[in-house]
Amino acid sequence: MATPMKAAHSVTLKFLQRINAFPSLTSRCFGTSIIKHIKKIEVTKTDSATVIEGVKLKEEKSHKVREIKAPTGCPLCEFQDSLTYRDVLILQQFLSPDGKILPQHVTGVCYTMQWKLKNILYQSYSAGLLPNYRPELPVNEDSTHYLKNYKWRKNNVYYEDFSIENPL
Amino acid sequence: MQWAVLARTWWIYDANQQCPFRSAYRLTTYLQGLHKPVYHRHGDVGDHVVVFNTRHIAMRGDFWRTYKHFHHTRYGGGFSRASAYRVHEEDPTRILERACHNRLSGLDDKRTLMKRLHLFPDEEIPNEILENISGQIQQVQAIPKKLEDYTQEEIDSFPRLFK
Repeated sequence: MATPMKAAHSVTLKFLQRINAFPSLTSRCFGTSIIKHIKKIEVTKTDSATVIEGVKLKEEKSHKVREIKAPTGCPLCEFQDSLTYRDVLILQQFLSPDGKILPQHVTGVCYTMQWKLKNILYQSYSAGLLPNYRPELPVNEDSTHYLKNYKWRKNNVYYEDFSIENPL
Repeated sequence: MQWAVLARTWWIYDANQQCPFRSAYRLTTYLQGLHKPVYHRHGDVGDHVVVFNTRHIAMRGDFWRTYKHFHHTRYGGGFSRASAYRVHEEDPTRILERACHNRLSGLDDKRTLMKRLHLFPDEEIPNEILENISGQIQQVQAIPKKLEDYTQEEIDSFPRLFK
């Protein structure tokens, strides 16, 4: 009875070790260059025929990618306690141009850090640090929908920063 | 006898994006005179403090909506309360004024100390007060940088965390 259980346990361990050794297998690569070229559709019309071609776009300059230092495959795990709503340059990388948070399977972030990212992004958005990603603020006169009555959003907001000791 | 020791100095403070309660902690130390080695409660050692940009004060999280100011007129049915953002709309200096007032509770000369606090909502200060100022109080909180304040080069040169 003992030996078959042990064998199954060792097999699952080896499988997990293999996955952790190659984090790129679990997270998909997300980029506009190298692996899959993005092609632009070009239409050229002549008298006799119209030619529709897919032309490869030129490779953009690849940005420097920082090494993942945490043993998990997550790029943010080392900043568990020190990521704050003020680190706009980091947070901006996890936003799509629409202003929506990029999903986990694209960025390779673990669940806890994704959850923290969500809260921190909401904080920095309501503190006014990401001005281009702001949706339209309705100012309703209806008192029944007072939570949507964003009158107080005009004013400045700050959040507790536990990574820094605030002097009094 | 050094006359300058007992002189009343005028301090200036920029309340842009600062917490009113944390800045009240600092301002009341200067109002009472606790920053001087010759401090005593009965000696009139307090200084004047001029605060500007009170309109751009910052509150924590949900406090603009949830922090309430209460008022009772001592008549029947005279109890009223207002959220901080409504008070701020009416009078931008009242939140800081109230914060300092509550901080100075228990002192006999609270009224005189509050008279020495000068609050201005924007950067317009009358010249007579500006001439008197001789020192600046440090800000309590660092102002966070918005995305717009970073140049495009800085944004591009920052290392990426994923591909």
